[in-house]
Amino acid sequence: MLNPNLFPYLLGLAAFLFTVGAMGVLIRRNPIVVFMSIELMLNAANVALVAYGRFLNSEEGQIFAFMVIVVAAAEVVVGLALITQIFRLGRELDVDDLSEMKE
Amino acid sequence: MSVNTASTLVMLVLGFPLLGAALNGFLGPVLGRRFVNIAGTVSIFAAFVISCLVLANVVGAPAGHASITIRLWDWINLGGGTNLSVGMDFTLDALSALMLMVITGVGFLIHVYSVGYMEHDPGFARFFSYMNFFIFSMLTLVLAADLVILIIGWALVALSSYLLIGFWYDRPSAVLAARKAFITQVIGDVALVIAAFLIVLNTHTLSLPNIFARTQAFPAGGALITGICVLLAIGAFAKSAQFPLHTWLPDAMEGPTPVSALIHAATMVTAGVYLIARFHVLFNLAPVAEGLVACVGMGTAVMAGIIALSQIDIKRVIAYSTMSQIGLMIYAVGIGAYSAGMFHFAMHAVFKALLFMAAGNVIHELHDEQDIRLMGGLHARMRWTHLAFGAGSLALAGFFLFSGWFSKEDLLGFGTVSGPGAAPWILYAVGAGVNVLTGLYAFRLYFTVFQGEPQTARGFGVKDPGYAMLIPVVILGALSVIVAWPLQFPLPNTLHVFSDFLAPVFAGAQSPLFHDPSFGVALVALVIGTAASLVGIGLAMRLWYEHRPDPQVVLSRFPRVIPLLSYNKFYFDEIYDRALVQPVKAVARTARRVVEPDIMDGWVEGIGDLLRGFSFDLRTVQTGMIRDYASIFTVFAVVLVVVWVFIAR
Repeated sequence: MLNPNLFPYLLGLAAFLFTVGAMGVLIRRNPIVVFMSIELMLNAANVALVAYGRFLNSEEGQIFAFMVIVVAAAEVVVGLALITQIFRLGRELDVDDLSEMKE
Repeated sequence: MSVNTASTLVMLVLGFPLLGAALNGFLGPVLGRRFVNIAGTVSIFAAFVISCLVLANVVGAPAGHASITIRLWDWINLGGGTNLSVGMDFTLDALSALMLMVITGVGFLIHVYSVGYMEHDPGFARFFSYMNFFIFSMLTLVLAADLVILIIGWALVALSSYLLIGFWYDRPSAVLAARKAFITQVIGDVALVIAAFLIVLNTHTLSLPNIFARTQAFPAGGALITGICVLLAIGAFAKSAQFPLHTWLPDAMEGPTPVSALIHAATMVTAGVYLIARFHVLFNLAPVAEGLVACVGMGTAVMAGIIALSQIDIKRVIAYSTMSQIGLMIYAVGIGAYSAGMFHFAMHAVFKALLFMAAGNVIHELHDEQDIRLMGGLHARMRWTHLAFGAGSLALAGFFLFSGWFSKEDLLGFGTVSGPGAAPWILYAVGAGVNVLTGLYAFRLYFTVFQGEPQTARGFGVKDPGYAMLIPVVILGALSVIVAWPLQFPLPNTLHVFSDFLAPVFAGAQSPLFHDPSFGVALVALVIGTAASLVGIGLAMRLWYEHRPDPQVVLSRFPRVIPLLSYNKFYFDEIYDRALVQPVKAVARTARRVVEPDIMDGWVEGIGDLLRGFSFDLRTVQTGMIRDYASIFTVFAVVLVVVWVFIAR
């Protein structure tokens, strides 16, 4: 049985990881790094879900975490495919440069 | 007369002209001229026969049962506790029977005349359709026993008049005249409708017999009844071309001559006289309104008589004489001499329709020449037309024992004693002056057109027209001599068939202004009036028989202001143009220049501009940069969480 006093620290860890991920998404311009940051945010959410599941004595947290992992995997597949295509078009890998959709 | 008989008669008398209008309008152009001529005249003749039956029924009815009001069907039932319903109500009594006889009788002769007059006009089917429709409208108006039906008839005659004045719609002047007539009529319609609202508001009924019964409870001379009567009188003035709504009538002469004879002389323009006679129980409670009506009538009679002295268009002279004679009728119903007014209406319908049709013959023969300065000397070559026109002129001038003499002297005889103080004598003196004027302008026209020598080459080649145009003129010519003989003599306690016939209609109420003159007073009035007519005719003979060729030269002997006012029709058209038409046009121009582009378009386009500007600004949010969107998303997510955690809970 985990020490219940650890719960705030786990949530703090999740919040810290999420913030780092969010800042990465907002600041970095390389799409691969942005994807890594998104993974970081998703895993921060996973930490929070598992921690809640553990401390509330419920399996749902872990089930949700698995769901998130599956969705993240699918998302990475799509995202990496897009990045590969952009690279193949000979364009610079810079998210700020990909703004044609505004018109 | 039973209800069933009355219903049948009403249906038939209204049905025939309406059927004629429909047949001529829809089938006439297909079936051709012969069909239209027959359908157009036979429908009115059938209505005339029915009118004779109505007259026989009214005359034959036992005393006290001569008036019958029937409801053909309920039209609009308002229900809901108002108890107000519009029914197809019609009255058959002496007054409506008289109107029926004149409208269908004179109307039939004019329709026959039209067959000849419109012989070469391509629009014959349209013409007869409109004419039949006019007869239908006029009959609806005079038979109506419901306020709404009356107003419908009132408006429909204005519509028919508009359509017929503008019959030759490719002439700009005819179209403008039609428009002017219609607009002036609508001024009167508005007054009439407001009067109707006031009546309904205070009597809670639309049925005329009920209205007449319930208005008796109104305080006599009160503001309400006076207001209603003044509004009714304004309606009557517009319809009957009385001052100040008279300017449309001379312009209405742009229509074909049969139209002038039927609508603008015999029937429609006398609808105002009929309206006041029909609503006499209301007017009897409002002496102020009656006085106004009498003064306006007499004023118009004088004014139109002076104008008629110097007009040079043959039809306009007759039009102004119509205005003047209707002024006398309006004066008669104003002082409460209703039978006398209606008698003059009937006589006037005969001799004025005759004068118009005879003038139509002249115009026709001279190939649409209407300027009397270019006429003259037609008496030998148009013998029958000349005889009829002469008889009509004598009747119009009130020559001894011609029909106009009986009605006009009858009317003026009552004028000598009816009214407060010295007013009757003043008005009678003016009336005698109108007699002089009538003799003057009637015989100025007669001498200028028929006597002397022809002024143009065409004048030598004229002849009497064909039978269709001649027979109605001759019949009316004979009638304008003899028709009054069996009916009425303008002295008390003598022959009074006509006024006895109408007496039941007007028996219910007596005007406070009205008094029967004694035999002596009436005799003096008769002698003076007859002498005045003779003076007028004699003066005309001296002035225009001996001073051919220019009828205008004579006028230069009068003080300069009279011919000036007369020739320019008292400047009414100019005054209305300056006072009403030009200001309205100026307002319209200003509105077009300022209000429309700056104000109307301003706010419509302003909204568009505002939205476009706003969306233009808003568009800059869409940078297309993912990081911007993510930032905004994050910021709002944080805000939401903060709100949820710290405020909402």
